[in-house]
Amino acid sequence: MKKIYLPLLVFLFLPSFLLSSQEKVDPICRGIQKEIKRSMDSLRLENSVAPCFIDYMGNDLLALNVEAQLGSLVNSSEVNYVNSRSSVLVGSYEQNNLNVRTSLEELFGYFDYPRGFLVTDQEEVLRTEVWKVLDEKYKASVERYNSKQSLLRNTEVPIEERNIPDFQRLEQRICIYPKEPLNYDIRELEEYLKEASLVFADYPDIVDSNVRIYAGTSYVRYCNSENTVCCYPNNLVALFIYTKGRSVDGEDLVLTKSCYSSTIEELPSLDSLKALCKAQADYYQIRRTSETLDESYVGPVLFEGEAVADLVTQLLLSTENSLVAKRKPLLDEGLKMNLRYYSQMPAQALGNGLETFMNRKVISRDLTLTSMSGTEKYQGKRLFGYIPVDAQGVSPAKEMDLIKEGVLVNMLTSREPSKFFKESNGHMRISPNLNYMGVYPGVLRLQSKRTMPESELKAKLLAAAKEEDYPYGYIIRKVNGDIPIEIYQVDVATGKEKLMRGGRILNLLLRSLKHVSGVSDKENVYNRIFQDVKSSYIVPSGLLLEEVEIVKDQRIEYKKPYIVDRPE
Amino acid sequence: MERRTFLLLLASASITPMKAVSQAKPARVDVAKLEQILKKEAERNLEKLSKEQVPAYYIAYRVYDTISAEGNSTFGELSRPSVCNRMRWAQVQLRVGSPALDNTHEVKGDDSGAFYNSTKYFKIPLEDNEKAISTALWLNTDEVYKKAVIHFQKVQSQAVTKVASEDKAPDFSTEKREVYHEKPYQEKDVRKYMSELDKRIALYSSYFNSNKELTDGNVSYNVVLLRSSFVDTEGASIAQNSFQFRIMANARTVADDGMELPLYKSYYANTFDELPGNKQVKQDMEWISNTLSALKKAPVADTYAGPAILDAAAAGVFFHEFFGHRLEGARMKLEASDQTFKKKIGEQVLADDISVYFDPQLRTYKETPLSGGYVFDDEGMRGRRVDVVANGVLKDFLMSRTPIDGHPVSNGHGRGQIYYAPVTRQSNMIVETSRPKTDRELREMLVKELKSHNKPYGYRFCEVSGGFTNISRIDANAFYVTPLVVYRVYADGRQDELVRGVNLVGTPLSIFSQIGGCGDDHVVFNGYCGAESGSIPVSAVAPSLFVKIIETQRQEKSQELPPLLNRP
Repeated sequence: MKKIYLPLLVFLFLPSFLLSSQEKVDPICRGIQKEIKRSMDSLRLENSVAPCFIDYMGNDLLALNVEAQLGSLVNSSEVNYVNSRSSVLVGSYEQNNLNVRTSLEELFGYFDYPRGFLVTDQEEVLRTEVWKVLDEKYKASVERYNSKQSLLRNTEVPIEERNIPDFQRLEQRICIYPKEPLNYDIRELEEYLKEASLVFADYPDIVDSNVRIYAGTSYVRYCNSENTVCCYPNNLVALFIYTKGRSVDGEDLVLTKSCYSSTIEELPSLDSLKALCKAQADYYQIRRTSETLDESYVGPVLFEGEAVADLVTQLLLSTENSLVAKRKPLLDEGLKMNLRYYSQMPAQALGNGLETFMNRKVISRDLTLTSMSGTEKYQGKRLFGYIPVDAQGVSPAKEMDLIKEGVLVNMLTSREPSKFFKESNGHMRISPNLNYMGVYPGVLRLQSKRTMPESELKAKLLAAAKEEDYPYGYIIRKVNGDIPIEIYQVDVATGKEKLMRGGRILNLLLRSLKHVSGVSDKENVYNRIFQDVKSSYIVPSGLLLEEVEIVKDQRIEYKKPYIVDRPE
Repeated sequence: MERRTFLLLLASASITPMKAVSQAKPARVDVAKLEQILKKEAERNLEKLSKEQVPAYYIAYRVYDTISAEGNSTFGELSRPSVCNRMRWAQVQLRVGSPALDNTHEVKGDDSGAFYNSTKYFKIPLEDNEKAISTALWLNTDEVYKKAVIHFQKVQSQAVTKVASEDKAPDFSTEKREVYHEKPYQEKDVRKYMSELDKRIALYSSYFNSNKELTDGNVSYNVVLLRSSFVDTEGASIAQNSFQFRIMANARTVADDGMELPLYKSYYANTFDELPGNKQVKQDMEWISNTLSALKKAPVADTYAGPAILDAAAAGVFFHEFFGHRLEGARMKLEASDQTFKKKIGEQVLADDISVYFDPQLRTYKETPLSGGYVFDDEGMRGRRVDVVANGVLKDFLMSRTPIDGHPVSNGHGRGQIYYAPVTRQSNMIVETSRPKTDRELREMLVKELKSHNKPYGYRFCEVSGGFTNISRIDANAFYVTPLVVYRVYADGRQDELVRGVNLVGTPLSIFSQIGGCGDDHVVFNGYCGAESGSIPVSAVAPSLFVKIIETQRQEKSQELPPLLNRP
């Protein structure tokens, strides 16, 4: 990827160079900048605070969806979405309208939809779109600021929390990456999917199936009142293989394989895709007759393959004690009243408890977790989760340890400081359709200082299971939340694996990673999306946890057989 | 208890008669492959399911094959590139039990509604792939059958646990079935209009540029080519096309007190050539722009009860809401429905000069295109003209295949989007008078009435955006109509004064006797009506009305300030 990155320092000493860099700013960004400046200068309600920071992000997304089922197209559509997000902070960087929640909608981010945008060089029309939204945002921000001031006057807030600045001040950046249009021929993609989806025609027990591609060509333009302009592509290509069938005892078996990339070229070849479809169909055939898990188990479990990446996501990123720095927001009284009806305080209303473990051991001392969001390539391959610049115009470091030899040393941050973290490390992320914005990882690498071959890990699993008086141990190769989608019971005596169904993992928490019995010496890279935000995980191919609780999943609903035979 | 409410939204109010266009008569063709697949699968499933303990006795499949193109523009610029896409959705309708009593029968106290327990919709391939389509039909039929059996058993249980239903009619009518197939169109038949429509909407929205008081100035188009197929186990096989062209303009300003003031204008056509010429649209856009500026300065009207004139555009919506919805037969079977007219056949319900009929076979009314037309309804019944009121006397109801006492058969008004089970809905409603009055005469009637009640002024409702009504017993049987342009008409002959901020409200029975006269004009209101079977296109044609007493209530008003800065 080519980029133009010009830090402010250069501009200060070379004003003529500034001009040339500003010239690279396209007319759309110039229009947005003008309206931001006008708003900063003039947006003012009587007897109210003025804006201290404004940003505006405009996105131009071309979304292709192609889906095929049993050799025929179900959908092939290309739609353009042009939308925007913006924020207006009022008051000062130190104290503004951030970090306060006045309603459930605000707390949970409901109805926080992107707004309209125009890709046009007709400045007046473009600025009209920006004008409408900034006016609305400014008024809402003043209202929130006033609520916050009232809360601060009437609530006892610990001094160390009160003194945390609300927003980090940054210098100007001009950071323009070229567009990267996805290179596809729709007709070719249609044929590719049609042919692959035909694989399932040979499997009559699979009652529903499809193969689908989403290809989003997105180009983001970000401007703010610090005169920062960042433009960059945010493409996403996703391939899904979906199958549905029913086990012999009536459990609906739904399986989706997802492959994510940033380019069309990374999609598997037709033969590889057909092989993936066939593997999924063959796996389904075994699964439909596999035994269900009836006996509860608390003992060693070996996570292998993509289950390791999903375990890391679940334990380190999706809980309230995640590696995302988060300041406890001020809650308005009305909101607190509403929250009393919740059995427990939602994570959004709390700060991040993990922050209080800074410089303490949180996982096994063998393990180190590194953020590599600023690293473009790893072992010669472009990383899907690489972030040239985040949604607030900050570029993440190439490498930054989050957990070093088991000790928490850093967290993922944005420009909204928390108790321990005052500066952004470039992890405010945005989905290609701008629907989701938040702090998410880019690239994470989990390593162990002590590793062993995969075969030794399995032997270690069996030995540990035996030690716990179990005749078997478990290997999990695919997991979704608390459901082990692909779980194998391994006979302690013979090492023979048997696919099981109907299990559920209980009480898997961050501290489960404190007791790691072994880590494989091989690494895999997995691409994941969370709310359409892209991430890569570089993880060992196997991770043996000392103790995991697995029980029969009582939530499964068993269904009666189909009455009429499937059509020929 | 279930609430039943209906919403009518503007899609087109065409005031100027348009050029007459002869409708190309569709060629009848042999039963197409898709319909053969549907027929084969419906019969195969019924063969088996009819032998179950709770037998299925009827299966129908509907398919919507939709090609739609749309484009948007704002202040002269296309908001995003226009798109054209094709989708195919299918629906299963299934009945168990017998026509006398089946799973669509009301289960008292069950808000999920019988209609939701007899259908399901899903995507099917765009190509006539027999294996893929049959499999999808089979799978979803199995699911609907099982759901229907559970619901039917509740119906059977309530036959002994609850009081008997007041209406003794069977649940499903016996009808003659027809085979009717129109020649299919291609995607190119829609695409060919896109570039011209792009140009037109950009031109039309540019007419709003010069008025800086407008905050929004948008024009969009939507072309839909819907091919709907219907096949059932009684032998019906229907495939018909519907071409719909719509151009919608909307502009908005904000009054100094924060009141949002929108104005809409839209144009409906059955063929491209029926769309209005640029000259007419320019006049309309200028009228919108000028009226909005006048509305911005207009005084807010207070609540009022007294005589009024409803211009023809408002009268159509008025009739649709307070009258039309109370003629929809199927709901009169429901115990929760208010059944306003159920026992009033043969009685005088409107003034003796007024006649009302519904005719889905009409494509135009006095050369203006109508959007509520079709050949067959969504239950495979030929749409027929129904004279519901002749000279003020109630004669008939709109009927689907859900009979009510005294009305055993359908007249082709079973309608619903593909996502919902069809119920009785309106089509093209035509209100006519045998004693038309000129505009001057209507005005004189208004002034006379004002003077006789010592009222200084009355109101004239000109443009409306839509309306809303409730026909359940749980809430007041009220309706309201949302006017956009309202004039105060003074009894002393002063010039009419534009006002803002009122809704027209009322209850049905009290309003019927208040219609004092009908005009010699007419306006076609082409809109979308929303109810339990989704949003469907309808038309309402009515003359202007003099109403002896109407009531207004103040409109909900935004509490936001107008924009602080001028539009760029």
